[in-house]
Amino acid sequence: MKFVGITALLVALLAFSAGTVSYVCCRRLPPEAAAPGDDALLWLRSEFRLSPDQMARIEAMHAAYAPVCEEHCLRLHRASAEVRRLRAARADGQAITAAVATVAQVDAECRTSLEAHVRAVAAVMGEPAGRRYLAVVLPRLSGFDHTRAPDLDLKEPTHEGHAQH
Amino acid sequence: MHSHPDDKSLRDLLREQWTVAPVRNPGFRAEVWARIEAARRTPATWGAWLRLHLLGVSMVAAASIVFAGAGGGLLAGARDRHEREQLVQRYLISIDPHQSSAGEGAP
Repeated sequence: MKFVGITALLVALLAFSAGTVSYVCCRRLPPEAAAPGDDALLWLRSEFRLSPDQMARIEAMHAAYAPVCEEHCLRLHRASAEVRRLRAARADGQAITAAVATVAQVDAECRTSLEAHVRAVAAVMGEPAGRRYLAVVLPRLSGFDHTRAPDLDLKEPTHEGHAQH
Repeated sequence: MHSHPDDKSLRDLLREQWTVAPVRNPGFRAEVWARIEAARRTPATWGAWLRLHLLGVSMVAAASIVFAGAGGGLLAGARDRHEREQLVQRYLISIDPHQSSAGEGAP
């Protein structure tokens, strides 16, 4: 009975070691992926095997897009606030319709600009990484909803939410 | 209760009342010898025991290693998918702040 116990312990240790080795070998993401951080481009860096030159270009594009995104958000915020104000003030229908149209126009501009940015990033990545990147990003962008609150603190004139860009 | 070893009345009582009727067991000797033989055959060391049960132990060990390896791989895959999803979300939020609310539940 003692020998069975010793054997069972050794087999358990062996199995645990095999499981640990398998876990470590099967991990594909870098260890820093698990850590909370503000490196927004870590996904691109870790998944797409981009060259330093490609990564530098994408970082520059990402940084350049930040103020564009910020401006869209501010315009959208103002246009939405105007619609709310007009509705609260029970303004005439034409004014409200015009304000709603402005919101839709800014929303469309934002979507178009964002998609253009994403496609430009994909072009820098080249094939097949670019296609794979678009396959992940585009469906999610098409599903976004500008009527919901953005994940940033909209304060005029500064736009603190974009500090992470 | 305390009784003295030379308690005569107790001795007499036991002699009268306590009767033992042993049942005959014809296989008693054979059983004893079988147990002695079995004890003699049991390996004295773990190495000897292991050699005796090598096939069974090998199969159990191999099955355990395969299961543990597969489990480790599956766990790593699940963790990778979860962390990748977080990285994708972090990136999407950086280019589209509305993603944090609209992107929930995305594949």
